[in-house]
Amino acid sequence: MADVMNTLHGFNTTNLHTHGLHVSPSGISDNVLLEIPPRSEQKYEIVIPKDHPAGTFWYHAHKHGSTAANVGSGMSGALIIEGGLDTVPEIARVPDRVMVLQQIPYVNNASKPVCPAISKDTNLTVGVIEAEYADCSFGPRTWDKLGRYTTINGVKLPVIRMQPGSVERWRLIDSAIREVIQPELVRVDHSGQSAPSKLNFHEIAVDGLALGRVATRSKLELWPGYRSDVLIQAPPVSGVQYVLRDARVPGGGVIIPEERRYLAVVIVEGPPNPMPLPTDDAVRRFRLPSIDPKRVTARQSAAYGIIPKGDGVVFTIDRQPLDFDEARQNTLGEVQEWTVISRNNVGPVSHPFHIHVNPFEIFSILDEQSVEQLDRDPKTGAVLPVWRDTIILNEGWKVSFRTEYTDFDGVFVQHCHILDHEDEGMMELVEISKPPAPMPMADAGAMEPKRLGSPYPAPAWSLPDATGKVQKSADLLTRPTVLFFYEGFACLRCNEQMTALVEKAEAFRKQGVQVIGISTDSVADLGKALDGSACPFPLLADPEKRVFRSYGCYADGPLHGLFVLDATGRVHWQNVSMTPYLDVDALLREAGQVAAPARSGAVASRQP
Amino acid sequence: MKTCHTVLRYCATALLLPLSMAAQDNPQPPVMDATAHRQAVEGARKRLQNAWREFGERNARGEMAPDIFSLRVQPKILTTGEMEGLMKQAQAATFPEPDVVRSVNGKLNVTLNVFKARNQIGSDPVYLRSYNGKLVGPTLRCRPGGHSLHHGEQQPRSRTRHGGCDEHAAWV
Repeated sequence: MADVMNTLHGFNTTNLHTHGLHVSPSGISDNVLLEIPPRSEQKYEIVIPKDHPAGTFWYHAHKHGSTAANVGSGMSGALIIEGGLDTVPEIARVPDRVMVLQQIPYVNNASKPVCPAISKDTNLTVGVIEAEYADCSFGPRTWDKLGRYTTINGVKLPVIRMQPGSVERWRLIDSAIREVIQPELVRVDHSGQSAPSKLNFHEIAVDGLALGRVATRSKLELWPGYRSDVLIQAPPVSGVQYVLRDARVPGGGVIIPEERRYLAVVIVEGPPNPMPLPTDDAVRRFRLPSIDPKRVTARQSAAYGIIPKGDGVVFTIDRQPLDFDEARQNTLGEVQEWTVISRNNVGPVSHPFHIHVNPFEIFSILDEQSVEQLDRDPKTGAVLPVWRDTIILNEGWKVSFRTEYTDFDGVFVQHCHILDHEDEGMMELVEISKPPAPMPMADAGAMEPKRLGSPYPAPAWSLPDATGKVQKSADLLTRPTVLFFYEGFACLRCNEQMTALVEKAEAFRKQGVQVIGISTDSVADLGKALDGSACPFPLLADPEKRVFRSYGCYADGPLHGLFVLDATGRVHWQNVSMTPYLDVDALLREAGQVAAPARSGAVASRQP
Repeated sequence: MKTCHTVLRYCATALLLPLSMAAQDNPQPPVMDATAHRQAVEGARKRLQNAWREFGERNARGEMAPDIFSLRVQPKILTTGEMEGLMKQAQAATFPEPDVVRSVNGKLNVTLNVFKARNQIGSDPVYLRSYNGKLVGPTLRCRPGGHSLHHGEQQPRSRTRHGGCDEHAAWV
């Protein structure tokens, strides 16, 4: 028997998760380690960044042990951030439907043949989800044995009425707890009608994140936790009907009655109201930018698996069930490349991988024959990477993605979104720590120039230069770099440092080292440094001192900072102080040592 | 580091009634005493583990064919008569949107009360844990507001009977 913590337990204790949001996992934000016991109250305050992608997200209960029972009972809802794709005229003008798909596995008197806990003395005239019937609501093949219907927004078989030629946006949210749903729109037979036998889904976003194109599909594959924003266009004829049907064919020889497949009815009626669909060009700019593989600073892997143990099984990640004392360690600012797989010792099983806080860009999904499964560009045949927060891992397949840890440190989780797997241990704590921060004011020693034993990834930035053009760290920090923070053109000591750096600009360049200055000046004031004469290296404006803070160059006001970075953007040497560092010859030596392995092609050691 | 446009204030209240408090005309599941309940839960855990072991053994022997994800499987086309039968099962003649809560000036305040509620799925009555008594939680719509807000410093707390984040949160 597995330990009680990794069982279905504590159904009356709950909490909240904002699935897909890029927000803090700490304190009273998206913190799934909080527990709300019965007859108590918990306040949450979740601050959504101003530049957060717009889209279809959702919230649901996430207390370890009761997640399947709570979400399976309907404790979930849509969380929509408006803007983005909503502003495209062809999308803005059409009806916007939220569709929370649910598979609620209640047991009642009719479940007696498949649920041994319901004895002849039990009288369940109402459907319930309780721990004493957990083996009937959760577990292998239970959904099909129970014979329940998939509901949308809590309703069996809702009816949607559309005018001929009209378009609707459907925000499909799969809150089902364990089975895949494969929607397709199939025409009801009507002799004499010229309408197509199937309607297409024109998909514009997955997991709330814009695809950057309109992907036309005849069928969707929605795993638990997935979202799909689709545009549906009614055929141009009135009087035709379609059913939204789940095409899933379960394994193990289970036959699903046809009527259990039907999720909704679409009736096309009334006067024609033709509407256009958007073009790829109209939606392209809403896609999150891709992560440059050259920026990757760390690699991770995870294997999800069910392993036999004793009289039963354990649900694991990297062969370990959830342990609240262990967390996968990461550093804020890292750009990571992950490989995730499903490897079970109970025959093939699929697991939907989900990680909180930071979405990821999948650049490869290889099936068991190593055939790429991602969409391809219809014109060029190029593989199209996709941003998601949840992705299915089929046995024998390999999913690879890149992700960047920006903005939020703290502890959160990755887990299987088959929620009884999660409750039974297929979850892992993930911790993002702040990089070792310079401690300018703490003690005199910290003010000394410092060569670091273990280099850390420099925080990312995007700042305007003197011409107002925005420069990004991702683009610039691809060479060995001396990054200096100065208070502004009016600071005499800063000018002294800058003059010294300008004098040695050519020496840095010969060593393959670039110099970049970041100032508290505004764009307009940047040019006033050096008495207006041209600066041989770029100067960037940070008047709000955000980047100053992220590099620890701030304590009741801006501080002077000097950082030596290698070609992958990791800090090897730093000095943060009330006074600017003026020993430019020593700086040149440090920078030369950091740059040397880059020149020779080696990466590991700075020492000759 | 960032200015923020939306603060989602959410107040979850776990309000789980003892089953015996439910009204008489609301048929509820039978209430077990604590010992019987504990034994029943233990029994369910053991059966679930057994089910997984059996599944694993059969699946490893290749007896549980995997789900088929094939576009080649052609759907059955409903006849008009079958459609009429299907429409009789439709629970709502129109499309039901969940309740909607919108942000105002960059803030969205919502209270989610958690309690067991009676609802109906198709023709089946159910009595399930819920947000605000519904089978689906309200849709939260956050609109960029341009307000710059600081994250509050409130600590998690519990309350007894009064106060808290929503005075209207009912203890029903």
